Amino acid sequence: MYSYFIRRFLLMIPTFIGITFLCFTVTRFVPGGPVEQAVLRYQQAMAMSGEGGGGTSGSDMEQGQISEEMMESLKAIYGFDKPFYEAYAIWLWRVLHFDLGTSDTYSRPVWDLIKEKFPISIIFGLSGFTLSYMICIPLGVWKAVKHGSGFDTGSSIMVFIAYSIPGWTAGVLLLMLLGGHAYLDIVPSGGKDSGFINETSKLAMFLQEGAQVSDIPETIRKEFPKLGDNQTINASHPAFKHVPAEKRFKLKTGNHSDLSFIGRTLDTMWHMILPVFCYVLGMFASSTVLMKNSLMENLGQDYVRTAFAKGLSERVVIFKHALRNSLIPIATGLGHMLSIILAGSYLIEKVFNINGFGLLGYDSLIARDYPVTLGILVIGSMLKLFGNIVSDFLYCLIDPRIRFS
Amino acid sequence: MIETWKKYETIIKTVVLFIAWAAFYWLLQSYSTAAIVSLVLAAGFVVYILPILVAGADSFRMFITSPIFKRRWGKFKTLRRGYYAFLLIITLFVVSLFAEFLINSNAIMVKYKGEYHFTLFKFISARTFGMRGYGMPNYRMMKDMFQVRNTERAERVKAGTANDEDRQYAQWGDDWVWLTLYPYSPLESLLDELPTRPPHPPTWLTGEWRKAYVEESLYKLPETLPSTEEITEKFKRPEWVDLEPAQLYLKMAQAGMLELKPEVKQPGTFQHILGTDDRGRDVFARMVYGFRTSLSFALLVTFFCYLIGITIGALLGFYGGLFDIIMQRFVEIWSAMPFLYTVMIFAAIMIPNFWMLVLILVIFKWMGMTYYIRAEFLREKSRDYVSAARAIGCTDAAIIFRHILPNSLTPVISFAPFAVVADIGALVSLDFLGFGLPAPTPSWGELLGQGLGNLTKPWLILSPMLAMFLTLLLVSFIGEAIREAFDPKQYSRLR
Repeated sequence: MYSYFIRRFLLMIPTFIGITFLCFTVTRFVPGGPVEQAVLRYQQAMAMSGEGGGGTSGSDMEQGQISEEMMESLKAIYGFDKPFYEAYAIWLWRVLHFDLGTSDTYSRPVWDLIKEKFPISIIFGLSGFTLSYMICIPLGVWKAVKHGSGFDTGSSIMVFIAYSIPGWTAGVLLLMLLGGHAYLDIVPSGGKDSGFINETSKLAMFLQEGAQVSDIPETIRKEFPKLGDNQTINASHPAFKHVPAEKRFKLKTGNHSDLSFIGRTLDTMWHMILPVFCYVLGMFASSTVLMKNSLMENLGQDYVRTAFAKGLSERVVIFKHALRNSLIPIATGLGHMLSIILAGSYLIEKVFNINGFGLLGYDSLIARDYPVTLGILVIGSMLKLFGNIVSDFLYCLIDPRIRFS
Repeated sequence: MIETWKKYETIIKTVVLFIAWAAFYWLLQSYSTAAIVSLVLAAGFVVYILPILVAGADSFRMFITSPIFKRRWGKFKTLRRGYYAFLLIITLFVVSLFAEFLINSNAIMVKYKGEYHFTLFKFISARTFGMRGYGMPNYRMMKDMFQVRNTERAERVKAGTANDEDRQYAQWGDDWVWLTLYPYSPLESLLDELPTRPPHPPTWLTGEWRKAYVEESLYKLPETLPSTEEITEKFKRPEWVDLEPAQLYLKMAQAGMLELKPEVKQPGTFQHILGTDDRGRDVFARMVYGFRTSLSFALLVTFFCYLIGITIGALLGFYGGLFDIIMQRFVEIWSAMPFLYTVMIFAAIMIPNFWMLVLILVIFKWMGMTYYIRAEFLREKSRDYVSAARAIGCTDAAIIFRHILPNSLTPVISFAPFAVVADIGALVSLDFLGFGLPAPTPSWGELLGQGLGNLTKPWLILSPMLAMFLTLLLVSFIGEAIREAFDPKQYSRLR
């Protein structure tokens, strides 16, 4: 069995190379790449400055042209000066050293960007995933136990409806209904936390105490040269404790970081309601039906008949014998958790404007920021490959009958 | 079917060769050696692909004419919900294929000066019909214009001041325009015809329109602000007394107390039943054409995915061995791609048209069916009837196409509706993100994207959502019924 997993790990290598090579090649051969965009930007800048300086039209034409050596250096900057297989080898070598290159639009290492955005997506997605399992497993079990009853039929209608509404489209609808645009103003209109809070905001009561920067004693002030005189600091700032008590006041406006701990938690949760609902809706139908069918199948097995025959109560048979076996397909699904979350994040983060992994991927595609695009692809495919192995492993772990060879 | 094929093989092959040659030539126009390359491709298609397709189609025919299929189909028909959903979807899809005849800004037929013009698919300059300009005539305006002219002419004839042309019209008969049922096109911007700014609300939403008229100041306002007595006595609305003038006029407009300026042409109550989008294009027309695009897209993707999936799955299951091992690894590798993001990358970079998008989706989605068909083939291969066929000397091709394949197509039928749901979802997602069909193509996802940008305009969100919800619901009803009829799971109930 170990040899099976070792083989699976070895198989990851060609898979990974195949996926990245394909996408790398496509980014290479299609016009409109970073070099062309840089040239375009340069020409636009030149045209603008030409207009401003009032130069003659003849010299404008020449200004717009790009010399050979400039083109060469541009290509070198974006790594387009080598043939694609060589460039791919270099890129792959760097990836193996955890260097995904530098983003063209953010001018920051791609790895840093991903590390920054990834937790945001995971918080949203994981909450949705957990919640959907918490709803779907009991519901599926109950549906299987009450198969054919009114409850089963009623909840099947719900399952059908949930199946026919992709989660993110429900997000658009709910945003319209509840986001304070046309109808009710219950939930925020997007983002991962409040950017601006004033007295009319729902969370204004949770604003921390603050102090004017000019009230900080001189000696302490020198340690924080970045603070301007007109700024205010909040209670979490290290300099705050040196401010005399009578100069402190309760903040009137601020943003997410000016809230107290409870306020921050509430703020985050408030922003999570709709996105998490969308994640749940996206997984609701399939998880419920999977749970129900799996339990139904087990309830028809001989061992359940035996258990009934020896006089066990229905409760014990269902919850002790059948349920444990029927949880196997659900549990193995845990391996794909991260890939499912990421697949949902591209759409849900776009709808709710959550600045996470999915939106980063979307923005990088719009901006033709290939290092970021490829970086996201690398992370996405690695997670999927690991997910496959993890679910196989979970399968072995839970069900001792399974022997891969 | 296979007998007919054998009888006319040469003729069919020759005809197909020429058609395929022409088709490939059209596809490859940009190459200098297009003629030769396309001939080679067409010949290859005729020799290698065509017989397989015919044999495959024949096994599908055998599959659906088999008694067991007929019995299952009978079962499917008894499942009312799924069966009626099936009939409804088929009807709607067939009707939507003829959408050009029902929902189109082009008229079906025009009679002008005694001559009949079929205008549905033909460009006829506006000048031909006595209008100004060389472009496409606006047939709705033309209809009104003809009516006015006809009545004027009738009056002139009555008054005895008829001119030469009027006398000729006595022979020609009156001009008329035969418009389609819903005379707006999905690509036609109606900015010039509708008074306010897009997106326009549905025309039956009077309140929204009145608000828009106020915003554009299209109401004739009274010379002086209504006095307090006037508000309380004449309007009987004492709560309006303290309002700002702008607010007061809005309230008055909402209550229908103001009149529009004379030059404003108000649309009819059911002119645009779902309003217009942010470029002033009719939403209902875009919905219907979007339905056609989505469903044909999903059906095509499903069809091609299954074609490839069945072929490869069959070969893997039948031949097994090293080929099976290598190919299975390949399928495994291919399905480890993050589907949505890979498709997004390809679509974003290539900016595909309809067929290219189909191709991209097929490339990354064909693997699903191979597993099922492979398993079916592995199971069927060890059955006695296959050994019998081998014993009487059947070739591999005959065993595959005439014996095993017709017996292993059940998963194809029972998974197809769910694949269609997934494909519609994928297209809507891609269109929403802006990586789907190119810009002016009517699509639900693009409209949802507009809705996200205009969250105060509910018709932009509700229309595509409802359309998509109903379509997916119907298709999943079909899927559920088919699954119950074709792949029944008998759960034993113990208590």
